[in-house]
Amino acid sequence: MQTATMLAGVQDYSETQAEPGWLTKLRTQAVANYATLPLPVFEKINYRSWPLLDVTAPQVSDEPEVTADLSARGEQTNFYSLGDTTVRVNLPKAARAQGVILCDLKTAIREHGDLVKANLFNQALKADSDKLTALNAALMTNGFFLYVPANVVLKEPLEILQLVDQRQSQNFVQHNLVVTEPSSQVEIVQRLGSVGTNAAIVHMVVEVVAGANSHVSFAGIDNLAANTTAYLNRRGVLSPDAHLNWELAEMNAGQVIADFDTELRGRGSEANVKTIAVANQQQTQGMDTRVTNYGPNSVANIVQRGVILDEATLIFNGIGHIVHGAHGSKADQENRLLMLSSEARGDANPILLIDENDVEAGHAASVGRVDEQQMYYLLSRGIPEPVAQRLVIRGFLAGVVTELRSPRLRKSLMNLIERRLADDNE
Amino acid sequence: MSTLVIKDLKVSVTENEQEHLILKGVNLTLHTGETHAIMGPNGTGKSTLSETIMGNPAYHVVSGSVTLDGKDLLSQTVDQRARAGLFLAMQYPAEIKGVTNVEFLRAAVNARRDKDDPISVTDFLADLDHNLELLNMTDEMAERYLNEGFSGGEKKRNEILQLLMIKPKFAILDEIDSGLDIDALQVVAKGVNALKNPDFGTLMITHYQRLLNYIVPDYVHVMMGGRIVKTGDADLANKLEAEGYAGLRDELHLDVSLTDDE
Repeated sequence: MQTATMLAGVQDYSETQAEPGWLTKLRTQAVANYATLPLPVFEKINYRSWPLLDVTAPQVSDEPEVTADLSARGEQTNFYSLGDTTVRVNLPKAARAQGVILCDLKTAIREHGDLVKANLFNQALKADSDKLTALNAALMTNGFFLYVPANVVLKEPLEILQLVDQRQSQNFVQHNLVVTEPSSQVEIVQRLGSVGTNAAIVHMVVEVVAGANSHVSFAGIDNLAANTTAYLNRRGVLSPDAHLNWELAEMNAGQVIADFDTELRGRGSEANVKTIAVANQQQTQGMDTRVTNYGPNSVANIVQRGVILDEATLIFNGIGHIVHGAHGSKADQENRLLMLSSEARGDANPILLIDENDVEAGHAASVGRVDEQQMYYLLSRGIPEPVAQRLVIRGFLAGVVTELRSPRLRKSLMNLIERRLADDNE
Repeated sequence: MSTLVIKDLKVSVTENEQEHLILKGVNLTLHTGETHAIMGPNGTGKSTLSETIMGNPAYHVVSGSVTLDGKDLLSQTVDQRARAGLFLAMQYPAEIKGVTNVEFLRAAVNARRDKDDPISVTDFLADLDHNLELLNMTDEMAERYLNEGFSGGEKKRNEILQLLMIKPKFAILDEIDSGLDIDALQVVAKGVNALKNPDFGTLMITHYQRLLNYIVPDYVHVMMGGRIVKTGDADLANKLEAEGYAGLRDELHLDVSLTDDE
C-alpha cells in the first residue's frame, strides 16, 4: 500500500469514527513512521517473505453473520468479538459497581478517552518502535479495553474471545489494552481463534499497564487457522511490586511471529512468562520472549516448551536483560523443544544480557527427541505407539501446563494440545 | 492354557561400541498356572532375559526364538507383545509428569479392547478401587502423575497395580523385591498371589530367596554366565541361600566368574 493511499484511508476512517484529534494525530504520525521504520529483527526468525504487510486501509466492516453456533461459542464469555464487530460484553454487576470497565476499544475511545490516551501506545509500547507497531497504530480498528481501579480484586477470571472472521477476506488489526491501578488484582483469559478458511493477515497487540502492587494473570490462547499469517505482540510494563503472569499457548496452524516483551520498571516487580507451542505441517512459529529488568530487586522467569512435528519450524528466543541499576535482580529462563520428525526444525536460543553485577541469572535450553525410556514403558503396557507418543509429549509439556494456575485452563489447554497432535496422525 | 517357550536364546548388547554376548543359549518353558523363579548372581543376564522377552530395543537377539502359544514374539513390536499377553514389572519404571496414573491405566486397559468398546467408567473404577485396597494404596496415588515423585516402594506397588488392572497371561517380575522393606514386600506378594489362577503364569527374577517365602514358586531356575544351569523346586532356593552361587558353580564345574567374587 502506498503511503499516500494509506494516509488518506486512515484519515478517512478516523473521521468516520469521529475519533478525537489526539488519535488522528497518532495514526497520521504512525503512517509516516510505517513508511520509514524497519521491520523488527528477531534472532533466527526469518519472516521477511511473509505477506504481513499486505493489508489495506481500515474500513468500517459490515455486520458479520452470527450463526447459532457462533453465538453459542460466546455464551460463557465476558467479551466476545467477531472480526471488528463486538458481539457481546458482559461484565458482572459487582465488578461494574466497583468501577471496573470492560468494553471495546471504539467505545473506550469515546467514553473513556483520557484513560485510553494516557495509556495507549504510551506506557508499555511505543507506536514508533518498528514498522509493525507503527502499522498497528495506523490501522487498528478494534480490540478490548479493560480498566481495573485501585484496590479492586476480581476473583473470577475474565474470559475474552476474539475470532478472526475468515469467512470473508478482511484485515484483522486490533489493539487490546489492560490498565490495572495500584493494588488491584485480575485474571484474564484471552482466546484468539478463526472462523472460516479464507486467507487472513492478523496483527494483534496487547498492552498491559500494571500499576504498583497490582497482580495480573494474563492467559493468551492463540488458535488461528492454517491460512493465517500473524504478528502477535503482547507487552507488559510493571510499576513497583507489580506482578504479571503470562501464560501463553501458541496453538496456531498458520505462520506466526510472536513478540512477547515485559518491562520490569518498578522496584520489586515480577514477571513469569510461560509459553507452550505446538508446530506442525509446514508452518513456522517464532516466539521472541523478552523480559527486561530495570527496577532493583525485580524478578523475571521465562519457561518455554514446544513440540515440533512434520516439516514445521519452531523457534524460541528467550531474552533476559538486566540493565545497569537493577541491583539484586533475578533473570531465569528455560527453553525446551521436542522434535518429533526428522524434517522438523527447531531452535532454542537463550540470550542473557547482563549490565549489573549483584544479580542472579540463569538459563537452560535443549532441543531433543522423544524420551525412549518413557516410550518403552508405555508400549510395554500395550499402549499403541501413536497414543504412547502423545502421552510422552504431554509429559514434556506438563512442565508448563501443570504449573498453570487455573485447573479449567489446564484442562482446556490439554484438550487443545491433544487435538493439535491428533490432527497430525490423520 | 497358554505356553511361553524360550528356545536357545542368544542375546547381545552394545557396550563401548562393541557387541557383548550376554545370553548364551537360554531354554525355558512356562505354562499358565505356574510360578517360576529365576535366581542368579549379578551380571548374569537375568534382566537381559526379561527385557528381551518384552522387546526392549537395547537388546539384540542373535539367535533363538520366543513364542507364545506357538506364535513368534520376536518379530512383534513391544506393544503387540504386551497385547498378546505379556507384562513386565520393571526394575526402574519411567516417570511421566502430566499423565495421571488413572488415565494411563485406562489407556492400557482400553488398548486391549475393541476401539468401539472401551471399558465403562463404573467397571473401571470398581476394579481400580478393589486393587488399590488390596495393595494398601490410596485414591490419591491413583490421581498422581505416573510414578512422578514416587518412592522406590511406591513405584513397585504401582507396577503391581498395573499388573492387577491389565491381567496379562504372563507376568515377568524383574527384581520386584529390590529396595522393599518386609511390609511392602508382603503387600506386593499379596497382589501377585491374588492373581494366581490357571490362566496366569509368573516369572520372578530375583537375587534373594526372601521373596520366595511370600510368592512360592513351582520351579526355581538358576542362571549363571548367560545360561540356565540348574532347575529345581522351591528347595533349590533354600539350598542356594545356604551355600551361595559359588558353591553351586563349583559343584557343577562351571567356568563362570561371579561379579561378587573376590
